[in-house]
Amino acid sequence: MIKKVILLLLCISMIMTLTTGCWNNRDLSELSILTAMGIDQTEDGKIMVTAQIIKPVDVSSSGAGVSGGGGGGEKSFVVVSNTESTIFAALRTMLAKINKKIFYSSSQVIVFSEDLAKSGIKNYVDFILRDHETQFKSLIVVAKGTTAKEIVEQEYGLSKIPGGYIRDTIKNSKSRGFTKELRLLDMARELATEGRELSIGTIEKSENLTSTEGLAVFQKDKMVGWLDKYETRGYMFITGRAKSGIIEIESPDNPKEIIGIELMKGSSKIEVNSSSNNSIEVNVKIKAEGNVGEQQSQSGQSPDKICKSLSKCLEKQITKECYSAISKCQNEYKSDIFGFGIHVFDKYPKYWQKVTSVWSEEIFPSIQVKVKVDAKINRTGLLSKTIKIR
Amino acid sequence: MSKVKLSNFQLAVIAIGYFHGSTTISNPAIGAKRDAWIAVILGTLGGFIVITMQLYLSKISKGKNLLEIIEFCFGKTTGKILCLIYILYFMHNAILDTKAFSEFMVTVSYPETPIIVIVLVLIIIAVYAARSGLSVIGKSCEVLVPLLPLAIAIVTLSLLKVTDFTGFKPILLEIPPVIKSSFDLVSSVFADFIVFLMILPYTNSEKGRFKATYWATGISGLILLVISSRNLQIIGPALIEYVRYPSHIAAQLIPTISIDPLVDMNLLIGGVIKVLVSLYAISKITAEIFHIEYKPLVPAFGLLIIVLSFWAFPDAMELYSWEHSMGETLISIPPQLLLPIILLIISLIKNKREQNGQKSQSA
Repeated sequence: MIKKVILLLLCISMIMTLTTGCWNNRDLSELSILTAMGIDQTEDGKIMVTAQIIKPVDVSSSGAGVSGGGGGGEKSFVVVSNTESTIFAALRTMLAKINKKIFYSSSQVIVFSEDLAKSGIKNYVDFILRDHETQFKSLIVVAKGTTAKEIVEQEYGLSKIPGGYIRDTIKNSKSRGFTKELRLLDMARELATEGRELSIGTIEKSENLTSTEGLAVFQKDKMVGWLDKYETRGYMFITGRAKSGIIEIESPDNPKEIIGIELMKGSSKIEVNSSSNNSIEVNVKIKAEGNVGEQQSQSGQSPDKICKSLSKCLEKQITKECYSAISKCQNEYKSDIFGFGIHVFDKYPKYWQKVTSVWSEEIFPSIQVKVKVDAKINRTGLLSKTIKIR
Repeated sequence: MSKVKLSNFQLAVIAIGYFHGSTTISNPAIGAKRDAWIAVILGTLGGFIVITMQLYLSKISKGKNLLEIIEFCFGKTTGKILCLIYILYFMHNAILDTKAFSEFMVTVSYPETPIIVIVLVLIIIAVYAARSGLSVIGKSCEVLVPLLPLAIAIVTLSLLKVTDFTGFKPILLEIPPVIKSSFDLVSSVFADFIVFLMILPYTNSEKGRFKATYWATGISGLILLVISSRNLQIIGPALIEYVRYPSHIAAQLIPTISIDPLVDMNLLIGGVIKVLVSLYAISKITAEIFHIEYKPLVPAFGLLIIVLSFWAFPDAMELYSWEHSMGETLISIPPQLLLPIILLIISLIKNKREQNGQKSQSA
């Protein structure tokens, strides 16, 4: 009997000691929770890491009545910057300025500054990929016209957690199509893949907020230029990422009046052919479906009558956006962000091996890209035609 | 000697757990990059051939285990020396798996935990189970192994929303890496079935053995196929060679929740079963060579595995370079393929001679 009791006690004590969790177990109260990280380059070539750390007490006590972080109220987060030669060292020596160890699994957004992107990001991605605490789900953005620090410091009236706020604005590009949602893993994949250059969504400061619109175009790991929001949507259409958004088209009979089409479905298919004189030809087929969402024009006809001409206009608008993106990347930036190279590799592996080294510099700018859009207008909403003012 | 009988289901389940082992974390088929799925299919087919041969060897020797087969073929003294090769080989397997498992845990989840703690916990479980005998191994596998496909299914299904389909193309651009990785797969996963020759004689029906093992091989092949194509699709062929643990990253990418411990759990079960079966076989062979009880030997060998795993692979780099070198494949060829073939030929000849002898006697 006593033997059994001793055995039981032994078992319990074993279980208690062995199942307490990990060795370096840290409680929530011992951590600084990082929600956004900004990476800047200082003038002497060092790295300035800016961490946005949440004050846990403030966030939990925030109710609907409390006025947000902006304005007179106290900020719910702290921004700390630190400069070192490596990101890891900068984060670790930041402990000289803050008391609790930084927990960066919760990082929602990683912001690269424009200068850093222009001088090449290859020295800055290794740590965030290698460390076991960083999340491959974190979103990546490039700060346009500002430093990463300024973006990370930005307060928002609507949310006490700026990192999560920025992430949500990037994520809702699903319904806008004006920027690209790029996870850390996707960035690494685009950097490592041959035949597709990297492109990262941008973030800009605008008055008291930030806006995520546009795209930063890279060549290898160096940024070479920007795409504006319409060109970005062209890119999104070509790569099949554009699923929703409002496309403004000119009314067929009066160019001054605008009709807003809500895109409901979008898909694309890229085909590569080699034409007779041995040059590569790319055919992009885009399918789009949308509804009429807003109509300014007062043509006597109801939209269902002009549906056909409307879908023609929609096709024209999408084609225009696509071509503007393609021509800018071909002529100005010489960067194949669309991944046409991958399709060439797929179809003509031997030819691809010959041209790999010169693809983005010589071949890509000269290839012929044909965009064919097949658009359809499905519904016109609750109104059959716009009301006539008499 | 032993009254313990395993059911065929238990045999299949142990085999699945054993094949599964550490392949979730370091899949040899990934060497073929975008053709990994072809390598998996080829490797599984190759596995079927090797396993058929090993099963057949067990069948014709009528209830003998590996040691008895070797002694039957080569005589007592030579047989015992040859058994040493198997002891060393199983030891190597156990060490490699122990180290791979603990390195993964240290890299991914417990960076500040001393690695000895993780190795110790693993070996304690393996020793306990191996000491308790086959019936305990069988029953615990019955409970644990079904969790493996379940976890894989959960992770895979939550990642089904794929946008980038450039993972698999172009197909078969280079053939040598595909062949090499399918060989790797056969040698590091399926051909290790040789260790089951120590277990097969204790299953209760001879008839169902083939069927059960084939099912296990097929299911393991399917699991491997799912894992490698999923990882390829999600991480991409260009990035996969830089990534050490693709499955872990794939599990990390599941939106809104973190269920990467599911992958770790996979490994915990698979790794323990692999070490456990090797440990059991080593102790059993040694015990039978010296005609002693096997149970006291288990903790001793467990301790030896711990010490040797630190001696042979002092750091992670050494482990990975050995895992990816040709050396590992080369040293597995004799115990996995050459010796079984020789054993098969000799026992076929001997059996025939015995039959003839019996015939001439009866005549």
